[in-house]
Formats: sequence, C-alpha cells, structure tokens
Amino acid sequence: MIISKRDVGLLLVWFLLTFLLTGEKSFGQQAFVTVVDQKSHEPVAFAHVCFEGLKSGHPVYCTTALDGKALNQVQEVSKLAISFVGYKTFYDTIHPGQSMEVQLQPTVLNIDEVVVTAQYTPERADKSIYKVSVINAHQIELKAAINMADLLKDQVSMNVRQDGVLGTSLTIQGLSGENVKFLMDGVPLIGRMNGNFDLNQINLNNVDHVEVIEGPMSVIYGSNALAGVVNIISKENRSASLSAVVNAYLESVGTFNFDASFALKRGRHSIGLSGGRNFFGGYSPPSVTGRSEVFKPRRQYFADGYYSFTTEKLKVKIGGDYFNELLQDKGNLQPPYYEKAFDSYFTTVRYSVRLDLNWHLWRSHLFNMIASYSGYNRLKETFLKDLTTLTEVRTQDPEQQDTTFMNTYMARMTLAKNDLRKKFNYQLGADLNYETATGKRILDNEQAIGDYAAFLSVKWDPVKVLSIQPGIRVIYNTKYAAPLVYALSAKWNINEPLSLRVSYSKGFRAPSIKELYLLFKDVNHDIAGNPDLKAETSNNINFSLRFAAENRKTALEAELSGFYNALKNIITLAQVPGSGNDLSYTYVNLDRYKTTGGQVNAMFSLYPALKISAGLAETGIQVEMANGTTTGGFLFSTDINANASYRFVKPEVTLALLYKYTGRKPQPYMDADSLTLGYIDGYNTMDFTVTKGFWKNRIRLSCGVKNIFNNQIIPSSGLGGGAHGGGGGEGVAVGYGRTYFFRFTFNFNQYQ
Amino acid sequence: MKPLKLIALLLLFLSFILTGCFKEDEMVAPYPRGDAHTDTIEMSQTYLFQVYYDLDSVGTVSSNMKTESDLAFECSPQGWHIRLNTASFMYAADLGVVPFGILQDTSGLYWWFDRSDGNPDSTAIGVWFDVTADGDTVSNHHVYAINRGMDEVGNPRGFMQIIIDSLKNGTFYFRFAPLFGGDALYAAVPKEPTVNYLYFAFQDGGAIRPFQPPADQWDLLFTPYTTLLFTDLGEPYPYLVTGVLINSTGVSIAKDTLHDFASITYDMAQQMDYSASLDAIGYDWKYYNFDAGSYTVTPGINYIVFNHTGFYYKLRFVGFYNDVGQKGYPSIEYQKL
Repeated sequence: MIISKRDVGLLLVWFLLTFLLTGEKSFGQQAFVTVVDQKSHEPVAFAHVCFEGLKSGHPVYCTTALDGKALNQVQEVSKLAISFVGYKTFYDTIHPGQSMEVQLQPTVLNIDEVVVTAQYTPERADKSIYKVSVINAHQIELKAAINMADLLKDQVSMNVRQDGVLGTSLTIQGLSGENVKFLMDGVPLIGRMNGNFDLNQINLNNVDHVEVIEGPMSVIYGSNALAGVVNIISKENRSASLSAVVNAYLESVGTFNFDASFALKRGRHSIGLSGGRNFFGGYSPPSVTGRSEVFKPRRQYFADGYYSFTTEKLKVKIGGDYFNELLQDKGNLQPPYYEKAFDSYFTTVRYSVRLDLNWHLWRSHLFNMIASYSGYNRLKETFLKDLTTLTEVRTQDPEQQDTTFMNTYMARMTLAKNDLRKKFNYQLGADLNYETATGKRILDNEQAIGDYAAFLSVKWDPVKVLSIQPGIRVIYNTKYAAPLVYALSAKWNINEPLSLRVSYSKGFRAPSIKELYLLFKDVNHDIAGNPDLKAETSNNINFSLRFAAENRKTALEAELSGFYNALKNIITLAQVPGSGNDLSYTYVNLDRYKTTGGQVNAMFSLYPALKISAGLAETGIQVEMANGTTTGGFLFSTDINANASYRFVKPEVTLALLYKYTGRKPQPYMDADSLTLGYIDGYNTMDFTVTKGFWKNRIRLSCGVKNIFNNQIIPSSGLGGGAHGGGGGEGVAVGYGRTYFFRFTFNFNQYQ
Repeated sequence: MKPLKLIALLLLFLSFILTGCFKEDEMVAPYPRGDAHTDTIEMSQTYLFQVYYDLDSVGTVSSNMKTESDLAFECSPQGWHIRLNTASFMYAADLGVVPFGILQDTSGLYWWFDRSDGNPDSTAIGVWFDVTADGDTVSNHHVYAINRGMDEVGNPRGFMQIIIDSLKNGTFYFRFAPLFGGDALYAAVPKEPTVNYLYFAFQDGGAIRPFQPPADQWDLLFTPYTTLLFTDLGEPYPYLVTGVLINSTGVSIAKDTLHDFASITYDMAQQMDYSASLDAIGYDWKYYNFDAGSYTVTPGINYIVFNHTGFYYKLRFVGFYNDVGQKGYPSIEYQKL
C-alpha cells in the first residue's frame, strides 16, 4: 500500500485535531471540580475542598465558588476530600488536569467541619481528641449575630453578663471570663478589663467560623485557658479572583452597622481588606429615667487586611487589624438644680500585626509559626457639662481620668507530625510572650511580664479505635512562679455511631498585672498589688459520650457530657495583717472554688428542610474560703436551649426559631473575710429570623425579632455585697427588650 | 453594569443611609435661685483643709490644714477632755501604768477613736485622772498610745505615746515621746477661754496650734472626720468621711426631708426638733454613685440651723464639685428665716 503525501497530511491534521481537542484540557483549559447536590443537582457553593498529594502528603485547601466549582491545580495524583455542612464527606482520588463532577450526599451532621484549634494539623472536628464545637457562618446568619455576645448568649453551657461600661462578659462551666482564652486566628486577644473581655467589641463581620473548646487548654495555650478556648477564624478568599461582600444591619433599638470587604487573588498571591462602622445609640428600660443610659451608646470603627502567599508546601500570611471604639457614659443631672452632669468617654483602641507561617516540611510534618504585636489603649475622660450653656470642661480630678496601655509581643512555634497511618504522632511547641502595661495605678507606672513556655504533646493510637494524648507544658515567668501544667486525653470510637472522650488536665490563671502591681492609695484606700502571688490552679476532669447516626433522609446526634473543676489559690483582696492600718489591702491566694455539671444535647434533621436541636445543662458552683466560710455544697442552676429551622428549598427561604431558658443563677461575692450570696432570677429568651436569598444567593436578606419575651431587667437579690455595695435589689439588665432587625448581605465573586 | 461599579454604588448608598450618630444634648433652663445665698467651700480634692464657716457673716471665717494638729484640749472652765484629730483618722489605746518613753508593746491593744457626735463620755483617751478622797484630781499615770493616722494622700503619720501629768490653773501638762522609744518632751497647753478647743501638734518638738476661731464667730466646720459605718451584716467599722460638724457652743440642727426647700418658713422651723450632736448634719447629704464614678448630693434633704447668735437658717447642699469638676468643694444654699 502506498501512503501518499496527501494521506500523511490528513493523518497529521487528524492527530493535530485530536491533540487540540484533548490536549487542550491538559495545557490550555483549566480543570475544575464541580460540586453539586446529589438530589437537586444544584451547585454547592463554599464547600471545603482538600487536595492531598499521595506522594508529598501535604494538603491544599480551597472552597467552591457560587457555581460549585473549585480549581484543580494539583501536580500529582492526589486524594480528594470534599465536605460541607449538610452533606456527607466525599472522598476520591484526582489526577492533574482532571475535571470531575462530584455529587454530595446530603447529611446534617457538621462533624466534618475542619478545625485548627489545639490540633496538630487541621483536622475534622469529629476526629479531634478534644470536644470542639464549631459555630459556622450558616449559624451566625441564622442567629443574626453581629458580635460575640450575640453569638454565644444562647449556647447552653455559656452565660453572658452585661455591665453598662465594662460591656458583656462570658461564663463557661461556671467559670468567669477571665478563665477563657480568646484567640483571633490563633493570636491571643489582649485588653481585659477586670479580667474580662467586652464581647461587644469582638465583631463577626469578617468571621468565617468560631471554634470553641470547653475545659482547660493550658498545656497548649498557657494562662487564662482554664475554662476553655474560643478561637475566632477570619474569612480568607481561597479561590475567587475578586470577591466582595457588603453587609448592612439595622435593629430597631438604634443599631446601624455597615461593613464591606474585598479580596483579590492572582496566582499564589492574595490580598484582602475589610472595614466597617458599627453604631449603637444606647438604651434604657422605660422604668429607668434620666440622662444616663443603662446600655451605653457606642460607635466602633474597624479595619483589617492581609496578604498571603501560597505554594504547594508553604503558606505565609501577613495581616493587621485596627479597632476603635468610643463609648459614651452620660451622667444624670446633679440634684438639686439639675443643671450639670458628669459625662465620661471611654475610648478603646486595639491594633495588631501578625505573621502566620505554615510549612509542610516533609511528609506529614507541619511547621507553624505565629508572631504578632498587639497594642491596647483605653482612655477614660470625664467632663463636667453645664446643660444651661451646653459647655463642658475636662475635670481636674485625677480619679476621673485614666489611661491604660498594654503591649504584647508574641511568638508561637509548633512542629507537628500527624500521620494517620502511624501509631505515634506528636506536637512540639514554644510559646514566647512579653507583655507591658502602663497606667497611673500601676507601681512605677509601668510593669512588664515575660512568659516563656515549651510544650510537648504525644498522640498514641495503640489500636485503630483508641487515641491517647498526654501533654506537658513547662513555663518560665519573670514575675511569678508558674506551675507545671499537664494533661491526658483519650478518645475511644466504641463503634461507628458511638464515641467516648475523657480527659484530665491541670489549668492555671496567671495573676494579672493589676493583681501584681496595683497601687491605689488615698485617704480611704490603701490597696497594693502583691508581687509574690501564685497562679490560680485547677484540676479538671471532662468526659463526653457522643452518638451520631444517619440514613438518606434523617440524621440524629446526641451527646452526654460532664465536667468537674477544682480551683485553688483563688486570688482575693484581703486585709494586710499587722499593718496597723484598717484600710490596707492586698491580693492574696486564699480561696477554693469548684464547679461541676453536665450537659445533654440532641439534634435531629429531616432532609432537606428541617433541623431541630435541644440542650440541657446543669452547672453547680461551690466556694470554700480560707476562713472556713463556704456555700455549703454545690449551688446548681439549669439552662435549656432549643433551636428549630425550616428551609423552603425552591424560594430559598429559611425560618429559624431560637429559644433559651437561663435558670436562676447564684452569684457569690467574696471579699477578705465574708461571703455574700446573691441570685439572679431565671428568664426565657427567644429569637425568630427569616432569611431569603436572591440572584443565586448573591443577595441575602434577613429580618426578624430578637428577645421576643421582651426581657429588660431581671430581678436579682443580694448582689453587690460588701460595705460599699449598692444592694443590687433592683435587678440586672439583660437586654433591650423586644427588637426588630433587618440585614442585607451582598456577596460577589468573580473567577478567571 | 460592571460588577465593580455595582459594588461601588452599593457601598456609597449603604454608607450614606446607615450611619448613626450620638444624640446631641438639649439645653435646660437654669434653676431659679430666689433670695437664697449660695457659697462653695474650698476643702480641696484631698479634703486637706478644715474650713470654719459663719452664716451670719456669709462666708469662711478661717481654714487650716487637717494635718496641722494631733490633740485638742477642752477650754471651757470645767472642761478636761482631750480629743484626737479625727480628721486624720487618729486612734488611741490605753497602755495602763507602764514606764513612759520606752519601746511599748502594742500587741492586743484596743484602739479607739473619738465619736463623731461629740459625746463627751466617748472620747478615745477618756478619763485620764482619778479623784481623791479629798476631791482633788490626780493623773492616773496611764500611758496612751497614739496612732496619728494618715495625711491627705494616705501616708501614715506615725505613732506617739503620751502621759497626762496634770491640769492645774487652767493648763494641761503632759509628756509625749515616740511610741517605740525615744526622748520624752514636756508640753503645757493653757486654756483659751474664747475657743471650744485649743489644738496641739507633736511635730517640730510640739507646738500649740490656735487655729480654731472664737466660739461666737462660727457655726459650721467643713472637715473630714472619723465615724462608724456598718456593713450589710450590721458589723461596725470606722471610716473617714467628709462632711460638716457644728459648733458645740449654741448651734443645733433640725433635719427635714418632707418639704420643698423654698417652702420652709420661720414658723415651720420653730416647730421642728433640734439636735446638738456635732454630726447632726454629718456626711450623708451626698453619696458615691459607683455607676457614675462621682459623688451626688442626696436630693430632698433640708437642714434648719439654729446658729450661735440665735437665728434660724434653712440650708441645703447643692453640689460637691467646683466649676472644673474637682471634688472636695461642697456648695451650700442657705437663707435666714
């Protein structure tokens, strides 16, 4: 057979065409993983996608876009895992340049959320040896939460408490907010007032999700993590070339919030910027008259930005944020002329810069480093205002003006090995902190504390269903004798739906700079800090038993958990013995405090529409003072919550009802030699939200009612104790009454 | 419309309509003062000054620093009391008959202060003499430990010991020395018949401080002083308060909380019950507002002063701060009835 030149030419054309039509995918056309709902075939946006090279072993994470697509940029055959709230996790392998359509099977258990808090490497929450709760963006939207106080108030094991000036503080497992560590992307927040953070200052505008671990995490995170850790994870654009989000929120009590964020991604580089303004006009219940508001007006400005550079093995992220709040505390007119008043203005400024580095060194080994500088200023200015002329003059009473500065330098490094095929894995870490505080009531007006720690945690899986993880932390502190901290945790996967976690850990709370170096002396006060203070320490036992089962239509999850905390060396204000001065007080390690309790939580889901959850928590507290005074056993209180949501798929409308009963709470007040017991009565709260998506969910509108039962002041008794106490007979302000809100979210993503 | 333009327009629109602002204050009409006189007493922010005030002469008669004295000697013809300067939070304890001038053991001592109501039977030093069978008064030779209290910023002033030797021909004779041992010094304080008390200071070797005005020239003393407060459980504890004590010669006070200040008349004043306790006005015409972080005058309290010349004045407190917001400047409004 003779092959002519024409035939050769035709063959060449054929090969070329074939090559172009197929090779186009390899060399010119991008490959995507397209994720859709198995039942509706609608694209699943924002699903978590993980590509993990089979040879290199390092994972690359991204999320799907609004069209359900995620770019496949793998360079080797990789394991593919896709997870999203409401769906069963999907596993497969994928080749370089391969496009794939993945149909996710619906489920409601969000156990597959990936968490990072206290983990060796990013891990699924259900796989974690710790009981990690995740509050994701969907739940934030359903609650119409705008700050951490909104978000945590209906959690069954937590309670929030309002103060007109100091803001909202948190209690977990009966332990106050000074025992809770707050992190922003792993960096500790600074700026506690009287040991607590004002949760109204932690906004959710740029938050992807919140990870909460209850129980001591002192081995991993050091001081102030005695009751647990709350890690706020910010949003980060991983796939869109341009992403923009605009939020607006109005509430009938006088809240006007607005924020916007932008993000760009070009190849390995991405940047993001966000900023906004929140305003709250103040509120007092109708029973309270006068110029002074119970809930003070406040205005907040905030901004943050980041730049990240990502390769296959390395990710470097540099970020910074700024927060400025002005809180107005207007005083009532002074009798008998009612012409003048004292107005105080509290300005809080927080700023930080941080570097976050993740480096996959070799197979299953991850090096992480976080370095940050955080600054905190709080300025109090008081003016005497003459309402007859509307002029004001700054008071010259030094007691009415105050400035506090705090700076913290922090570096944290971990080297972790987390190879699921191996029986032994570990995490080795170093935590370096240097904190300074400046203020007029601090000895010599400035003090500094250095805290340097090393920790080691080892995970042993003797058999497939059992994990045991001991840990130890050694600390050197420049100002006080830090205790040795250790913990032991275990997880037993009893069978497919049933797992048991138990842990013992030692926790501690370091004395604050105020407790170490306070100097407050005038004719009626002589209070000095005590530089010889020891840390408060605790022993904690936790357990949780979890059941999770599902079929194609329904899912059920139930959890039973319990805890016991025993704290000693509680730092208390006490009279200085032998001082010859009745007014001489200092801080001492005196008392003991115990908490115990349990929770039952259950969740049921009927795909695709209905989700119901309920929880009950019983928490007991017991105080034992050094002089023998006790509360006489545990004082228990009960909390109940119940949530229900229904989703109408076609019109993309979701209804949600959130209920919580906060039981009668004992409030022990301790001073040098007496224990006073007060109570806050129980009350019910309920919120209702309606959410609808438009234009393929680019626009989402929410509206609803908060505090349906119109709670404002809850009766209390015996609060405020002590010689100077205000009696506390009127009650405790817990809310603005019933309010109505409207929320607008515009979300735009563009892909190349 | 291009996406970026749409986003920009949306931002502009939302930022325009969604900004809230702090409420502006509204002006109030000044309170009508009427015929009453208003005055501000300058005690200073640390309540350093004791100020003697006379209603008849409408003003301050004299003032002195509260740390200028330690002891006060009664100057009435039959008077023998010795008081402490409670403005400095002073205490005394009876050591009994012990050698004087040596290091004294203060363990187990019962420290006490002068009662703020001026009850002569309740002074910290108390009766320092015995009466013989012949009716003579002789010193009981008890040594008294004196805690000198604090200065205006809370610094301790130290400890002394005293022993009263005699009261002869209208002069008090006594010795004083450091409580923990030291040279004993002799002092003599002759009575001054025009004043209620003549003051003495330990410092600088001891000196008489004649700063109290004559008894017929003042009505009110604005001063810090020590009094007993009570906890929520009813337990007493001493506390340094800032308030008003009255002239023990001829002044008495009625307290009224039923009537409006403007409506009180001479006839009403004559019907009221009067008290001669030194702290009849006292300190609780104000209270500390913890929420506001400032002192607030308790509304609705009126005082009727029957002054040393026999006139009735209605009086009330209208402030505790000066025009630049410094505390320690009580303002009074009063009118002769």
